[in-house]
Amino acid sequence: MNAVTAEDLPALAAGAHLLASGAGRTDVDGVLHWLSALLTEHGPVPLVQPDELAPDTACAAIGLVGSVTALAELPMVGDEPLQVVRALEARLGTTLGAVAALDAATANALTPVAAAASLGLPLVNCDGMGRVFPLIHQTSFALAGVSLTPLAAVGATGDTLVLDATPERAERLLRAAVNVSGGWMLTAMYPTTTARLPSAGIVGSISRAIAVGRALLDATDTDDLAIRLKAQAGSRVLGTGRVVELEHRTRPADTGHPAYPSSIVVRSHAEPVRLIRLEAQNELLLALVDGAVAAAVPDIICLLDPHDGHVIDVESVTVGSEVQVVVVPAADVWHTPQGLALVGPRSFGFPLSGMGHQGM
Amino acid sequence: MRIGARLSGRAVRGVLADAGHVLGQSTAVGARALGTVLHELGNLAPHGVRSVTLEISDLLVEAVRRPRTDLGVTPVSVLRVLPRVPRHAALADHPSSTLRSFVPHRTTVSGGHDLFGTPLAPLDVPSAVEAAREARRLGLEAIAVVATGAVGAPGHESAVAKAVLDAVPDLRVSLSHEVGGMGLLVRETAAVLNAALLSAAGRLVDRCQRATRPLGDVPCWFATGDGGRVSAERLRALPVLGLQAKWAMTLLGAAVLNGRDNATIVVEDGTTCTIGEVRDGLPHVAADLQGALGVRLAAPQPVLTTTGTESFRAGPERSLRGSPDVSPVVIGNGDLDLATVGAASCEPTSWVDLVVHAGSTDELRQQQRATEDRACGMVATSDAPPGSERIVESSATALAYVRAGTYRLRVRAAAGARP
Repeated sequence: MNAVTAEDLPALAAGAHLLASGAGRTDVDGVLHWLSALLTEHGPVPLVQPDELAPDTACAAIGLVGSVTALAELPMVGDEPLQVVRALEARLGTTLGAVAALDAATANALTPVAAAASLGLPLVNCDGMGRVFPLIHQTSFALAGVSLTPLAAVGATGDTLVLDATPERAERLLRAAVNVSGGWMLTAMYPTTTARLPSAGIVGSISRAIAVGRALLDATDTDDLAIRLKAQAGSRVLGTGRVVELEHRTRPADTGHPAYPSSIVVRSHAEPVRLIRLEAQNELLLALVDGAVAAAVPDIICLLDPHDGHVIDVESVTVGSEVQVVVVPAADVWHTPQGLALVGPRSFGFPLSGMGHQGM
Repeated sequence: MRIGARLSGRAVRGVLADAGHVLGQSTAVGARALGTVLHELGNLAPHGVRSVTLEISDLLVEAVRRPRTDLGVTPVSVLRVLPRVPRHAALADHPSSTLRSFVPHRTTVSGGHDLFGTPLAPLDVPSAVEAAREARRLGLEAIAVVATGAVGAPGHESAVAKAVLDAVPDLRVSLSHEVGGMGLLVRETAAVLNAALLSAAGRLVDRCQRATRPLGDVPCWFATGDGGRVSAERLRALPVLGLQAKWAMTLLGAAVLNGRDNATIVVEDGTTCTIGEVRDGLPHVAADLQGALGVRLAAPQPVLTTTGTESFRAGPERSLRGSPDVSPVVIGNGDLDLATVGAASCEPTSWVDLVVHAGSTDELRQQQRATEDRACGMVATSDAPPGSERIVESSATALAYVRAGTYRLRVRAAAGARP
């Protein structure tokens, strides 16, 4: 594909929802409505491979930092993409020629499209996560040595922030600003040139999210969905059952991460009955079946409604919810020693050794 | 003995029931149908009728779908309270064309709070009053007020309501926090539907109360989408609560008739099967779902799936996948309207959905208990038998990517002993 059109948006939103690993939210209707209007006004956004642009084209990753629930409560005003890119350009003293995605998951698959449409720029078909991680330096861009800062951030309140700091300091400073700015800010970070993206970015993330979304939207039933998701994303089903327990603060919290840890216990229906324990902190991070590790971050653990295949978010899970636990392998870069050091189970406080694709 | 009745089009169907047993049925069509049905069923109750519960969701949905009819909705104004005015028309508007069709006037004024109750911008009361005056000049009778953060901090919505009612006393005001729920758009949907339905619901409630009067001093209640019931006055103020009641009452009625407190209910209607669930004697419900109007709503409603009847019969296990219920209740077309049985059996309920901050698990438990007490209090003030309140569901889930210790609490309470 070489463009993102208004017709692609439902699939992009659906795929991005699955790739959020339980951290998404269904009601991005307002963002979709706005984005659809933008694409109708400005035409489709060109979706380009990194090597299709001149190597010295300046670009940056666009993404919302903060809570999607806060975004649902405090919608965007509409000028944030323009404001944040202009703020970063002013700091850099250069004009961007393209934008990329910070992470092609949750609403963050949509915000770079909005930025590209608002600014009349091409969208590079890559992101820095291939899913979503909680910290802004947990990216393939950072692994490849692209500087996270300077970064710019704009909130719905009109606050504009430009940060120069180390990645860890930038995370903390930005998070503090997000918390007083209504719960989210749109950011432009990792300023670089498109020459670096083939090695620093996870190439194909936007088209992958759309393909995964089409599998979700086009499936005739959950059997069909499992087949389509396996073909599209190499997914596997861990089990289907009913949530029997929700627990909070089940393990020590790393103060550097937003949100406290929680656990979800699912009792499977199929014989033999199994207990699937899901450890969450923002996203679903670990799945244990009868105490044995069955999947772990960086792979994408997600929940589907076993009746209709809709993605279920951790936030909307209640005791009694029916769920199917599905695992989608993460991008290859996350299974390298450097990738696992940055986003593997140990970086989230689980004392597990690195795991290969498809877990164990 | 209780009467449950369902009003749909010009027809009314009702039952007289006692402890889950149907003692009599009645059906009538026409302007006096409700009075006829209540009279007939009342005559079957030798010791009188304890209550009448009416299920009117078909009429409310019809009012929304056919705004220009006698019982149709009236156009409303929307007033959003946000820190900044949207810079793109699509963000100033609602994504649902159904909603937009009866909102000819909308304004955004400065104000609102974040998820933790901190003000994001000072409230611009003069602009809110001017917007209300303009709405009245345009001939609008109601205004829906939606402030960001209003579930946790309703102050700006309340302040707008007071100022608007002082300045334009004949304008009716609907506030989003009164329905509750997370998300500005889903609350706006509820507030707009409320405002648009106020007149129609008022006329319906009047009609129902008039028809009930000959039964004597019998309370007239209205069924709600979460499987409970509310007083006539509450439905008059919050008609949106009754919008999705039909399926909630149908699931409840099917479970009651089959003596099941926990069951998957499959209702076959021609070529379509609708599947829902009853848990602990109440329909399984959720907020943020798309209902009969195809628009996401903050008010709770039954979780339903549909499938083809032939497909269901060929392989029921495929349609019931994920359900632990090995013997679902399958209901075909019959004479008995299940929703009337559900209406005759339902009890008061409440639903609280909010965001809290808790620094420790103890503090979270404390907040959860306080929310549970609040939910029980809401049940207790809805004509529930004293001391009968119980917590049906109480969940806390951590919100992602926001200040650590932020949780969404959802608590559902109901009257009646736990099954």
